[in-house]
Amino acid sequence: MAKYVAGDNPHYTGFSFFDDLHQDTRDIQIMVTPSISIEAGTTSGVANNGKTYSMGWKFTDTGADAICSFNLNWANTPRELEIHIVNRSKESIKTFIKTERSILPSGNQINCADLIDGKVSLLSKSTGLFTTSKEVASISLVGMNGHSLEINISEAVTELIL
Amino acid sequence: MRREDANRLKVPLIFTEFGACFAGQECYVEINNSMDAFESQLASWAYWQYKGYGDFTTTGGAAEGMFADDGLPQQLKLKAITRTYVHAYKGTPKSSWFSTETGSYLTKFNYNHNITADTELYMNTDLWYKQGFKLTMAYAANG
Repeated sequence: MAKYVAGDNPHYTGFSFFDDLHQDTRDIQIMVTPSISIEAGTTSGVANNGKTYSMGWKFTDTGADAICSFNLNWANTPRELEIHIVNRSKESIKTFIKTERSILPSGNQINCADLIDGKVSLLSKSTGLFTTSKEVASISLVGMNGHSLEINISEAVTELIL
Repeated sequence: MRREDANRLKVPLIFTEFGACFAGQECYVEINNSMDAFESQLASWAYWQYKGYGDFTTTGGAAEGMFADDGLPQQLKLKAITRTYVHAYKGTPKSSWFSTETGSYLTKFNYNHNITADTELYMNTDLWYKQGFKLTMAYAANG
C-alpha cells in the first residue's frame, strides 16, 4: 500500500502511498525496530519441580507486513510450565500451554505492535501452598517486527559423568 | 491538562525552554523523561538552549547548550534529541512512542488520501541503529 522513498538526507524516509487507500477511516501503523541482536539461541532455568528446562529460539524474518507469529514445540515438559507473551508494560497478553503446539491458526499470530519491546517468558506455575509462580527463562522480543519465532521447550539434558 | 487546553482552543501544542541542564547522565534522563511526556500527548517541543550566544539571562553558561567547550556536540544530549519520529503525516496522528532504551518506535495515524503530501519519518541511524533496523507499515489492528 506504500513505498519507501529515500530522500537526499539519509535520516529521512518518505512514505509514498499508493492510491488504494480510499477509506479515510483506516488507521495505519509504522514500526521501526533495531535489528534482532541474537537470532537464535538457548536459555534455561530451574522450575518449581527442581528440574532444569531449556528454551531454544529462532527468529525468521517473514517480510514487512508487521505480523508476528509463534511456533511452539514442547518436549518432555510438565503441564505446570507455561509460555507467556509479555508486552512492554509487563502485561501477559497471551498464554500458551503444553497442548498448543506449532502451526495453530490465527491464535499464534499477533500484531507486532503489541509485542514491541516485549518478551517471551517461560513460567513455572505454583504447584502448592509453598511455591509461587516463577520465571524460568525469557527471550527478548526487541526487534521482532515481521518475524516468526520458533520456540522449543524441553527438559535440559543432564550430562552424566561415569 | 495542557493537551486538553490545546484541543479546546484548537491550537497546536508545543513545549519550549525545557532542559537547560549540563552534560551527563542526569541531564539525559531529564530530557528523555520530558520528551516521553511530550510525545505521549503528541506535542511538539524545542530544547533550550542550542548555544549560549552570550546569553546574560542564565547563570548556567554555555554548558546548558548542545555543545561542549571544544565546539563538539554533547553526545548524550545529541542522542536524547534525535528520537525517531514521524514529522509529517498523511493523515491525523493518533499515537507515537519511542523507546530510549532500545530505539524501537511505533506510531499510528488515521490515513487521509485527500492530503497530497507524503508521510515522512526521521531516524538517526548513526546514533540509534548502528547494527541495522527494520521498518514495517501495516493497517493497525483497529484500522
